[in-house]
Amino acid sequence: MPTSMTLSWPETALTRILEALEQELLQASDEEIMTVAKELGMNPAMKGSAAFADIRYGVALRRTVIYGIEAWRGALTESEKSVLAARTRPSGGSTPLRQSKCPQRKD
Amino acid sequence: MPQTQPLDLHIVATPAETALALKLVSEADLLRLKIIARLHARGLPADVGWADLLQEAFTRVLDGSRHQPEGVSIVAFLAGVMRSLKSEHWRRVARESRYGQAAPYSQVDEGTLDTEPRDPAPDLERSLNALQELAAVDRLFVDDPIALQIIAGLAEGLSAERIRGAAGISKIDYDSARKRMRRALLREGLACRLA
Repeated sequence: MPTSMTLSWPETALTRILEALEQELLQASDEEIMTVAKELGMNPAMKGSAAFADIRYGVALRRTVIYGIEAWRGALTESEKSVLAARTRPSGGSTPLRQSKCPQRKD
Repeated sequence: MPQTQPLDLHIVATPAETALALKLVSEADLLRLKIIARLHARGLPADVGWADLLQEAFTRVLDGSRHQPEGVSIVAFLAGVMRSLKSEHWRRVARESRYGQAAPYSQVDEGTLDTEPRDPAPDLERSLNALQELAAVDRLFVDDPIALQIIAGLAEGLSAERIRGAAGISKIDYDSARKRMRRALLREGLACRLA
């Protein structure tokens, strides 16, 4: 599209594009974002919504004497239990806690 | 039987959740920042994820190592921190290519950086990543010729006015295309899979 041919390094071109697109996103209204989330079948009003996957909760390690998953579940506080219930599948006793509904791109 | 002490998983609030609890950001802001983080993670190596970029930006703000200037919204500020983290990453990669992984930071000064022979591999990796991501951005707007013209103009560093002039796009068509692009970016950033 430019009238004269110019050559940019790919990383320079990418940086320019990403910064311009970032400005677009900064101008997006809250309503626009929530509408798109709903179109994608997400409900951002829910704490465990897939829209917030990998943003709001993480998993840390602590060392305690535990003899199996049931004992571990028993050691959880009420708030931890509710978060766990929201983030694990209904049938999934073996579902890893860190399993994301929206996995990160690794390719 | 000896008593073992296995590691126990503990759910913790992330820096982003902490910022939400402190009312530094709203839930819509979190989603906006997630989309921006996914955008900025483009071109970074696969081991640097968008969530790392986002949480690190929140951490820098929460621990006070980055201060929000007056008159700049927290979302714009965090987006800037993410950009700066990206630059930091590429500077670190460049340093490591010259001095090896264990090179002390004290040995790295601007003068030395300019004179030492360079390993071209990290630059090559960065360029290849960038080429792949440029192709991915094009794919995102493949059904929208005006959006592709805008992207091509942005890649050349042209202003909106010059893009419109060079491609012969009216202001109305340009603004409509920008809206479609924003929508596509929002969908892309919130969806589970990236193009």
